[in-house]
Amino acid sequence: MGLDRRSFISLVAGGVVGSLCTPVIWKTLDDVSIWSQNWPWIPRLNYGEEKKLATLCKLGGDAYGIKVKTVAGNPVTAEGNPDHPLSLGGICPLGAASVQMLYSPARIKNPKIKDGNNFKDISWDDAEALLAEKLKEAGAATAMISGDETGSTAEILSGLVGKLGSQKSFFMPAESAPAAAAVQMLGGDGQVGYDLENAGYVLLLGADALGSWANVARNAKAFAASRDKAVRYVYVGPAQNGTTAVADAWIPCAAGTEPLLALGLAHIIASGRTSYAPGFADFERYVQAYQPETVAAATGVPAERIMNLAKELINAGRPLVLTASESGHGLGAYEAAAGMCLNMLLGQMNAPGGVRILPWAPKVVESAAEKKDLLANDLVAYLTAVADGQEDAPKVLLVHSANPAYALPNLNKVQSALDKAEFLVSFSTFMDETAVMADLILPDSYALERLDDSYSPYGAPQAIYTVAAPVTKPIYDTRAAGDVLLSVAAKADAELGFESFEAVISAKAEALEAEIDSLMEGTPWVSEEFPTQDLAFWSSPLKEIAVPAGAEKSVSLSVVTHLKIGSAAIATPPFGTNAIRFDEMKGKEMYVQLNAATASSLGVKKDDRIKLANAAGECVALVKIFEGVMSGTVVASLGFGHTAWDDFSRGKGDNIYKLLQAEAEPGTGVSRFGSAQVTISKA
Amino acid sequence: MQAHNFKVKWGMVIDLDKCTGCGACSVACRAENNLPPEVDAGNKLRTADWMNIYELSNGKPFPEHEVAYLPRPCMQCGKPSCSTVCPVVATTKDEEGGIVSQVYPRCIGCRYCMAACPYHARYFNWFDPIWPEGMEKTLTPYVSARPRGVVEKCTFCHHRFNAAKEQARINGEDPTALPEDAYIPACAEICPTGAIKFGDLNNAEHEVSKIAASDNAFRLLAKLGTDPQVYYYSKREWVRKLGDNYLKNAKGEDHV
Amino acid sequence: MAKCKSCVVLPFLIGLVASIVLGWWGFPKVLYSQKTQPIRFDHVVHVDDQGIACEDCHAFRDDGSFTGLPTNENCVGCHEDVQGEDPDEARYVTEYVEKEKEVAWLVYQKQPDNVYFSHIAHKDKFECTECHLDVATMSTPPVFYENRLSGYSKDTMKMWQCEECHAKNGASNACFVCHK
Repeated sequence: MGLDRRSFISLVAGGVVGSLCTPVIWKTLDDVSIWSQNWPWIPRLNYGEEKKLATLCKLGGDAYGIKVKTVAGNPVTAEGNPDHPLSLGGICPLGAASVQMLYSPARIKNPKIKDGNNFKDISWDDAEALLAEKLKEAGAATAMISGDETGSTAEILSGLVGKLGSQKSFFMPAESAPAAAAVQMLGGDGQVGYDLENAGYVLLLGADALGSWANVARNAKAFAASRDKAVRYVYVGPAQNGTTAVADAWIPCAAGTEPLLALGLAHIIASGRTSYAPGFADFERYVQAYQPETVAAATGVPAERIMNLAKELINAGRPLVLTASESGHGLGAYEAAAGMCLNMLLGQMNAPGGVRILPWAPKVVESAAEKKDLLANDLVAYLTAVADGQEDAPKVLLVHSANPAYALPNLNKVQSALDKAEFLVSFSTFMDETAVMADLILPDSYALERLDDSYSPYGAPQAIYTVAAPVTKPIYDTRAAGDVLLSVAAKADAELGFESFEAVISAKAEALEAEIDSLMEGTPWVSEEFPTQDLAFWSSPLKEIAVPAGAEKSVSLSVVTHLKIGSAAIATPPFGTNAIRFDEMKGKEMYVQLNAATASSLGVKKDDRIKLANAAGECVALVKIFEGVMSGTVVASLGFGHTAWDDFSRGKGDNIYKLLQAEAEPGTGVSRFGSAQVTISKA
Repeated sequence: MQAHNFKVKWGMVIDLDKCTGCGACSVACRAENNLPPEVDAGNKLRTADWMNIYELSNGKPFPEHEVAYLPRPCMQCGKPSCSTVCPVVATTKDEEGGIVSQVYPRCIGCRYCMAACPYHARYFNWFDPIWPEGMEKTLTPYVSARPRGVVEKCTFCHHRFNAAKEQARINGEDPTALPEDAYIPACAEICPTGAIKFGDLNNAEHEVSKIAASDNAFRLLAKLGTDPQVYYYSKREWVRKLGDNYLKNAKGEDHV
Repeated sequence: MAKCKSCVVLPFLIGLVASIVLGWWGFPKVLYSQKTQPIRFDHVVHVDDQGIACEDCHAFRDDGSFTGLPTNENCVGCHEDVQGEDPDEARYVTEYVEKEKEVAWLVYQKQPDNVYFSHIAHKDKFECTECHLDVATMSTPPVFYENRLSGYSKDTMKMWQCEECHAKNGASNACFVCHK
């Protein structure tokens, strides 16, 4: 019997009815919908045992203990370490983004050697041999720049340079150098820290304590604890920021003139009292010049306000004055001393709630320079001199944990000096602007991949030594700079006496009489010992602090740092881009802040594209009208305008460092570049 | 629509007198909840920020100007506008603590909930997440990776609630009676100034319920009747007044 | 041609039966691919011969989470070197332990990433075998039937199974209790 049409349709109909009684259709639909939710390019999660490991975060200007959570051995998130005195459970935005930086597209995966305009891969053995050879040739014509003030790697680097007969070891400019110089002017000897937790009145002269100054996480905890006590936080500076949003008062003060205010306050406070501290008479005579009216004219703070502020300080139990440059670097030594003198006048030097002078870290690498000498070496002056031909360019320049090609004032000169260096070696973990210029790159492992240590960052209230064991094995072919340097030193006939970085740390722990096993487990060593100081009011010839001069039609440029945008060493992390608000960046352009009065006097309005220019360089930005800025001032954020790194930070905004000119402070030679003057025109 | 009464009502109090706008909460939230890193985060209509931070201004010219920062997670409203409009029930207000859940595989991406939410707290995945090579190893096991086409929002880190219950169970304690600090979302845990506090609003001993009862506590857009479970606190009246829309010369306090 | 009623009914019945048979028997055969575990893990040897308890490998951690399938860390205590004569064990030692590679076990109850399951919440309420295959008595792990479309195992529980049991036992059916 043939299958005619009717039968066929009937067969099919039977098939359809039957199918409806089977799971075929329903299950297929269900499975297809699941299939559509499981595209292979959507990452799958990894499961496993969770651990929280203590480590160190040095991405910003601080060095504090944090905890990293790992799942099945992979680091996943970072959080504060409640057991570390500089974290107390808090963490800053850079620290929170630190784990993902492990896999940043900007990471350098293996040693590289310059090949024309590009890089060629080179093996570790070849790279170390090459560097050793260059060092042997260069001898005393070697120099080093490090951005890591607290770690032993910088000591090894300085030791290597010292062994070769050179004194040219430099730290990147930060807060410690002017503060240490200030303390020295007062006859003190040691590292500067502040007992913020016990202060009763905190006067922040330019110091963005809750945003970017010194130990941000710990400052935040101290501030939070202060809210239950009658502690007052007063911020003095040209613009409102995160610190003023929560501080008890904001005193608008022209950019860079906060130290003048300190002297004005000192004048009022000194007139009221007698002090038997040596040098007081000279000091009192010195501050006579800083009458309230004079200071008011220079700073924009009304004379009456200055007098009230002085009264508040006198009446406060445990006042503490923190002087800083608004961006975290560029303050002169005298400027820092002005603030320090105020603390001394108020009797708060080496006292609870006041300034703490800590012992210097013990030096274990014999040929290394003393830290105080290192801090006294001015990097900007050196590079400027090299660029100008006044000093010989180094034959070998070693750069570690720093990005001088991006983050220094006199940037054109700095870049020219780096260019002049015959053999520029970068130990950078990331392809930053300096690494791009380098002749040889020996990539340091990322912080989570190596052993690291830190002795009392600037601001720490007591001597704290922290050791951080690696959280994970290196994911690329990188090595810890400390170990590489020791190996290269041996090959260059400049043996430093240590087999490994771990040996250096053990020696340091021994010198501090700290328990190495406990340190390796993540417990920091803390000391309550403070060396006795013989303080006197500054006895070196007293110079006048320069008032920033304004050219015609120029406005003051106040430079600030936002950790979520980046720091001097780190560009915007992959997880930081979203934290940048729509009023901070539009498309790929950054905003600068001016108030309406300033804008209208310059003939610009909201969202206009403007050019900020001065003798040092020029930058382009958009106008944000923000009434939290003094008139005649523009506020710009550092951290934008990267030309290297990766797509997360490259090509966004402009590099404000281009506008900073460093001037040698008369009398100390310290480079001052805390603020600048710029002219603004429509771009 | 009736509000539900739950035994436990998870809530947050954010002290705007302590928030410096640093952004650590926003970054920590991304890391914890597997939000993808975004190369171009400038277009805020295309990016996701479960914890978003706004800059507040008192609107006065220099020198009377004042600034404040406001972190904004999902309000986990008592009377949510979003869950009532979802056509597929991919989001509901859950009886266990009043968290508004979001179920990614069920979401069809119609974005009706986004239109309904008055706080703009919901985000759409316009693109598939792109993780730079290797960075997907930093994904936490707590939250699935969302494909394009689904809506997501702050969940008060409810995975930490589940983890706290597991911890209580292995300790032999009652998982329904957790101590105050057992369950704390990533943002609250990480905030360096401790501006963000979290707890059970129904428990009179929890800090959040004490602060929420204060005269200085306020909620965003309270007059809409959403009954948010996120309270803000500020001693500054101008900050409190920014929480809602008021007529210029309104008389009386609209304290909710 | 003469109308033949049976020529409509018979094809219909043939179609009906054929599709039912194909749907219930043929479809699963096509839908599921059969896979074997990378190493033939013998539970009988470990449980009966060695006297290892379930909790020694499938344990709760200090934070209450469940280890699930053990990692190499559990096994190398004994299997650092080859212990017996079984070729699969030798393969485990050479291909996994020595290369520090974890075994990619096929998980019978595999759930997608958006599902959260808390083992400890279900402990002491019923036996493991209520949801899991009783592998403790098997020398060879059962065949893994992988759904070719969705990628999941045939034994993977669906939402309605969890929801039904929760509803019957008064456990919460809030979304986030099971979803993440």
